[in-house]
Amino acid sequence: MMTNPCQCASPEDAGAPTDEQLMALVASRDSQAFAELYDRFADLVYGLAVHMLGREAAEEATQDVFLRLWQRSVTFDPAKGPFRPWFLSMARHLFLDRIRRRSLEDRFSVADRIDLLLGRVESGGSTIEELAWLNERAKVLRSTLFEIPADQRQVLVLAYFGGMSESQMARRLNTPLGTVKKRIRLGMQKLRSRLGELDVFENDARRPTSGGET
Amino acid sequence: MDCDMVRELLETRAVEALDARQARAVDEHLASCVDCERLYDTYRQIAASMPEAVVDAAPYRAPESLRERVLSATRGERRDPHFKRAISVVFRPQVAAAVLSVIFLGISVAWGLHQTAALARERSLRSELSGAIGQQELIFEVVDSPRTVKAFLRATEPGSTSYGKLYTRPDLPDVVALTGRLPRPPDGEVYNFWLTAQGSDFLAGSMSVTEKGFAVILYESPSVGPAYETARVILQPENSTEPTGTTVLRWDAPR
Repeated sequence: MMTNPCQCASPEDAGAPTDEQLMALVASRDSQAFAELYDRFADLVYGLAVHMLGREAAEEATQDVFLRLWQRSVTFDPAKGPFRPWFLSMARHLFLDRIRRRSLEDRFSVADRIDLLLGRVESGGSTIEELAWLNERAKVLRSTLFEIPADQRQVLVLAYFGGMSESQMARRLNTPLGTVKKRIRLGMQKLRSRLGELDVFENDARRPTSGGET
Repeated sequence: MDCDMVRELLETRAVEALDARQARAVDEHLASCVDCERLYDTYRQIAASMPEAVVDAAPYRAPESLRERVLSATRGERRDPHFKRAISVVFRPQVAAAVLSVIFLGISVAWGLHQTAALARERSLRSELSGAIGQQELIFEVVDSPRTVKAFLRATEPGSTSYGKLYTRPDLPDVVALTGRLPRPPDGEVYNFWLTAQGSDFLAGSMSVTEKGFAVILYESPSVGPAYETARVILQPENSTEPTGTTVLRWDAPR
C-alpha cells in the first residue's frame, strides 16, 4: 500500500468509492459525498494554496476551490479523464487567477520559492527506482524535477506556478526568448524520458481508474 | 499546423506558457491527430503531477475550522430526487435548450419576461459552449470569472431571434464572443466578428456556426483589459477586409 504524503484518505482502501463515483453523487447534490471528497483533497489543495498564495490567503482560496467544485460538479466528465488532475487543474487555475492580480515581481517570488523547494530533495532512504516501484508518483516526480538542470526546472515552475508566458520569462530572466523556449522543451523532454524509464505514467495508462491520475 | 510544428510546441503547451493564438492552433491539431494527442497527454500528465510534487516536498494540514465552513455552505442546498434528475438532464447538451426553455418560462412569471429571456439566453449559450469546446480552460477563464465584463449584442433585423455576447476581463487580453440562433450563412458568405477600438475597426475572427446557430471565437487583444466602442457580427463575403455587408448583431458602448 502506498503511503499518503498529504494524509488524505486513500480511495484505494478496500470498498471505498473512487473519486469519480463520489463526484457522480456530488453532481446530484449529495453533501456526504462532497464531505468525503473534501477529506481526501483538503490537505493537498490547502498545501498548494499555501505554496502559491501564502498562508494568509490560503484558507479563503481553498474554500473558493471547494465551493467551485460544489457549484460546478456537473461540468466534470469522467469520460475525459480522472477526477484528480481535473480538480487539481481547477484549483491551480483559481490560484493563478489570484496570482495574476499581483505584480510580476511577486509572481516571480512565488515561483522562486517553489523552485527552491523542488531544488532540495530528501530521499528518505529510498531510491527513485524504489519509489517508482511503490507508485509514489509525487515523490518520483519530485526526484526527477531535482535531477534536471536548475535553469530548466526554473522555467517550468515559472510557467506552471507563476502563470508566466515565455516572453515574460525571457524579460524577467534577461534571457533570449529562444533560450527560454529551449529550456522548457529540454526540461519536459528529460522529465518524460526519465519517467518513461521508470514506467510511471505508462503503468497508470494501463490501469483502470481508481482515483489516481492516468 | 502540421505534426512537426505542433510537436515543437507540445512541452510548452503542457505548462501553459504558449500565447492564446498558438495554444488554440495546437489544440485544433490535437483534436484531429491521435499520435500527437498521445504524446501531449504524457506531457500533460507530467505537468499535472507537479502540484503534488510541491506539496509532497512541504505538506500542510488544512485547518479544522475550514472544513466546517466549506461543508456548511453546501448543507442548505440539498435537493429532492426529482431535482437531481432534472440537473442531470439539463446538462445533456442535446436537450439542454428545451429544458432550459421550460424552466425559464416558469421563472418568467415571477421575474418578468425581459429579465428571464436574458438569463435563458445566457444559460443556453453556456450549455452550447460546454458541448462545443469541452474543458478548454482559457475560454472559461474569460467567460466564468467574477471579473468578467459582458456586453450583449442585439439583432438588428426586426423579428430576428439571433443574439450574442462579448466577454472581456480587466486582467486578461483574451476576448470571447458567443452567438446563438444565427441562421446558416449563404454559400460564399461568412459571419465575421468586428470590433472597434479607438475609432479603428478590426476583424476579430470568422464565426463557424453550428446547426443550432451557435458560434464561439477567442481573440487575443494586444493589451490586457481591452475596451471597445462597438462589436458587430456582419454577414459578408469570405475574405472581406472591411466591415461592409449586413450587420446582423450589434452592441454599442454606452456613451
